[in-house]
Amino acid sequence: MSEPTQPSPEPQKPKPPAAPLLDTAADNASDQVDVSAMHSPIMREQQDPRDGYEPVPLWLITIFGLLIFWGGWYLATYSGGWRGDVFDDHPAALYSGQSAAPAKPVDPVELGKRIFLGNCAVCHQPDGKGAPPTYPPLAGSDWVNSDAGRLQRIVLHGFEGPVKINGQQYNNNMPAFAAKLKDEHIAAVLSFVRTNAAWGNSATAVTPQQVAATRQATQNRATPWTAAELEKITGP
Amino acid sequence: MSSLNIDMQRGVVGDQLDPDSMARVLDQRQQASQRALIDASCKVPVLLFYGSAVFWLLIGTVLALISSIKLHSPNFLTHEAWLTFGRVRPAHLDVVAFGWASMAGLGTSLWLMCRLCRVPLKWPGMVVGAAVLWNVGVLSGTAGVLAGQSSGIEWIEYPFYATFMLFVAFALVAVWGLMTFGRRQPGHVYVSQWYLFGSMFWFPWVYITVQLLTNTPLMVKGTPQESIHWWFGHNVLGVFFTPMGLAAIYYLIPKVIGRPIYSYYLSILGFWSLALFYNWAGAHHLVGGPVPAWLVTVSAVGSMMMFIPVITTALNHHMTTYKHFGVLRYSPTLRFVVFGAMAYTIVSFQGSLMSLRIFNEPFHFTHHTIAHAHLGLYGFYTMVMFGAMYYVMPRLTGHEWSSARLIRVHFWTVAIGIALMFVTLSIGGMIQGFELHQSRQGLGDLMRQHTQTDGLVSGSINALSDFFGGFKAKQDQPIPFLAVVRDTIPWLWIRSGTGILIFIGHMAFAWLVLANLLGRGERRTGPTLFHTDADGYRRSLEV
Amino acid sequence: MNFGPLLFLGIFLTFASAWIGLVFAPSQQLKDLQAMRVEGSGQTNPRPYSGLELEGRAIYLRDGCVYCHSQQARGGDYVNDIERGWGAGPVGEPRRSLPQDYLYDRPVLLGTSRTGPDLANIGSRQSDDNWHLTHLYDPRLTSPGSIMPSFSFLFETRKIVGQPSADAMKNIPVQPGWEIVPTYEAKALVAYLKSLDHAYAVATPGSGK
Repeated sequence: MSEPTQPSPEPQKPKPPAAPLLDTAADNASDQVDVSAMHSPIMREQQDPRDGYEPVPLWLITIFGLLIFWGGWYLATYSGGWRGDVFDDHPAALYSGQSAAPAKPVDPVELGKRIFLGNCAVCHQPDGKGAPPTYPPLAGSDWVNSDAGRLQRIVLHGFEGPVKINGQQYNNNMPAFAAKLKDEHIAAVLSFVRTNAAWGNSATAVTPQQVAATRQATQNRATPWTAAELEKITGP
Repeated sequence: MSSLNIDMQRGVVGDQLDPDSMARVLDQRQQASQRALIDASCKVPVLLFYGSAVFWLLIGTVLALISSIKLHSPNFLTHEAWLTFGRVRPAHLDVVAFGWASMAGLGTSLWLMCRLCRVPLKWPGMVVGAAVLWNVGVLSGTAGVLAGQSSGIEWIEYPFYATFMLFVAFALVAVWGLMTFGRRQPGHVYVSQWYLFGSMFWFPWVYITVQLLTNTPLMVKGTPQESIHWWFGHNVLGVFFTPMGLAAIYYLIPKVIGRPIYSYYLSILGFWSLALFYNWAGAHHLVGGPVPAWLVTVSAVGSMMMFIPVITTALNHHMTTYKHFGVLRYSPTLRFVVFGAMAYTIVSFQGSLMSLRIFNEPFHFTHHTIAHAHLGLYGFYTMVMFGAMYYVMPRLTGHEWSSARLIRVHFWTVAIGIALMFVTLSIGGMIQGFELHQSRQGLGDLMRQHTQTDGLVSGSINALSDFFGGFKAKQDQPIPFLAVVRDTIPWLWIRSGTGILIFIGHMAFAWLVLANLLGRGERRTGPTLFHTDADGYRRSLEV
Repeated sequence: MNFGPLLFLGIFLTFASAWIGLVFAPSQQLKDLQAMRVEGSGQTNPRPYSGLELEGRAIYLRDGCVYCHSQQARGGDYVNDIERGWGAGPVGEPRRSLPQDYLYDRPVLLGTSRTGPDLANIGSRQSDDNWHLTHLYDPRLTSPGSIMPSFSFLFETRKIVGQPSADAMKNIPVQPGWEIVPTYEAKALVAYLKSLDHAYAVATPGSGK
């Protein structure tokens, strides 16, 4: 900020400017459509903008002081030590001295929910209602609430072809998850789905041992299951 | 010249002039003939910039309407690749930003620069060339985006050939502006000139940086690209459009009401704090993203520090207008410009707060941001440019505006349109943001339940209190994404309605500009004011 | 403020400060970031895109997917991204997106809008070609109430001549004797979407989560 090098001699309260030229009806009587009309917007102009010299109010300077103080505090608190490998907004993570959050034992229902949202929800929808008639529901589904072995097989190796669920006909395919999900993951997600009371499901939970056994028993399976095959194995 | 024979001022009684008023009259005549020379030199290039700007404004509005309708009616115009949302929307942004906003701004800037430096534009033919090249750039760039040659990076979608043309054209205009500044008549340099100087110097710098470092083989590795990208994205507004808009406000408010600007000291404080802080604000677009925390933090601080220039500039503008609100009743220019100045204050306050993590968390990624962007680029910048064009064009063409009624239609449609759009998208975006984060239940569901049991009014109130009371309550399961989408759709419908309103205003404006350029329409010789009682206008200026 | 050179100097210096802060500094700070080697194989995390995936990425850019879809799972306070299942990281251990994930992205597409869901890890959430193709052709078939436009121009609707094509769409209603076949562009785009899968852990000191 610098003082003006040439303080304007303008008084603080300038004289009232010349009134603008208004070509009122009376002026138009002569109807001079000539240079004067061409220049009339320019002729009636007010003078060019000038500067007034009101002082900067004290309250403004106070606010700015406070803002700058706040800025310093915010920088100190949230800048993560100016490191390139700190991304978290919370300063606590940095100053607690922990390099990473301690591995908490994950609650199986929580784990199941995570796996469901990360792997199943795109088709079956986050609320488990599916997208009829393309993708069947899991909430209140007769298949989900029946035999657990059937669901384990579907998740492990996938599913394809026509099937009737809750009276509605579906004909689509589901990919296999045997390679992607471990036994405890499959157990967790199936338990989450089957015991989810909010969805109207009330079947039993599934243990990792059960999944391991099913995986063992079906290890030679290379193609997705069909409804007919599954009904042969586990009953209608 | 017969023009000099017109009665020029009050206080002339017969042939007797007191010496004071005589000197004033002579001085005024001298100034007027100087202005006439300047305006004559600017006429062709500035009118070319203005005419093209209005053409692009109409194209941009049509593209905007198509994109807006597509958001709530996704089956609208889907069979052609060039009409898909992901091409029409960037085409809209580029056309209004580089077609309308830039061309209107550059025309205004050149005229302001010449007027304030008190020298005519030298070799206006080169600037005409720049305007033609700029048009070719916008046309080919937009065609390129629609044809599928978009770079896919927000704000710099134009293919390299269009970018190159725009850059050369801009460089020409900037060199001309800076040359004019160098040739200025000795004396005081007014605050508008600082802003114009800044924007002509800053914009090529950001444009070259972002093009080289994010859109060519020289691009930097990984997420720092996005820091550069948004440093540019925010600076297009911050150091290009905003300075041009502020320069116009700083010129037009004191000019129209004939008063000095409130405080030179506030001008200095406002300009230098803007120069220092605005261009630090870019990385607030990355809050929570995969970039180092300090980057977001410095940008949040930069954005909050923007309170300094914004409060300062607001004081300076509004205190100048204060006590002269009567003029708003008459002058179209002042009404648009003061609307813009007020929108600038609001949008800047909002923008600073939105950079804070606590506000950014729910509002980032939602339509709330879109509302904010439109208030800035439309409510502030575009309205100021409308005002500037209403002031400048009659001086260049020699024709007065043909219809006060159409100006009134223009003002009220766009003012109500943008205000409604801002409110609608802000509310819709807020609901969207809260639903994307923790909230027990979507607002749509709560409304349905509560209004069924409690009736419309109390049901709505209960639903709202449940909704906002539930924010931050940790949820077992987030609200499904598609439910969030569903709750935004009514707001998107209203937004399309406001778009139609604004489109009507633009049609009125385009008609006025066309009539003015062709010298058509109702012939009048006085200024076109909203109200025709000339005495009242005179009195409002003398308060 | 009447002295031109001083004005210029001020305008230059204020601007250079931010250029150093927001352009130069982060690029320098993260310039040594490397993809991580996977033990016992020649692969890295993340891996470079294949040719087909890059072609798909070009379509993603061309058709402006980025205007509705972000590609960043936020962490820390913004845990809702993780709760929605959008996080990166191995199964059951979701994490936020980190700069490592973007090493091969040219340009990086973090995005600023979530009119549609985040896609940083869509390949991990949905690895089924058929779903992606159906969704591109008519988003309402897979996601009821979606406002995504149909990308039917990436498909060819043609009369069946002889045998039906092996890759014809199965779930999309079409009049008898006709079939809907994805073009090469559609397949490339799906290949890119499926490659958006950052299912690996990254050790990041100080990042908490």
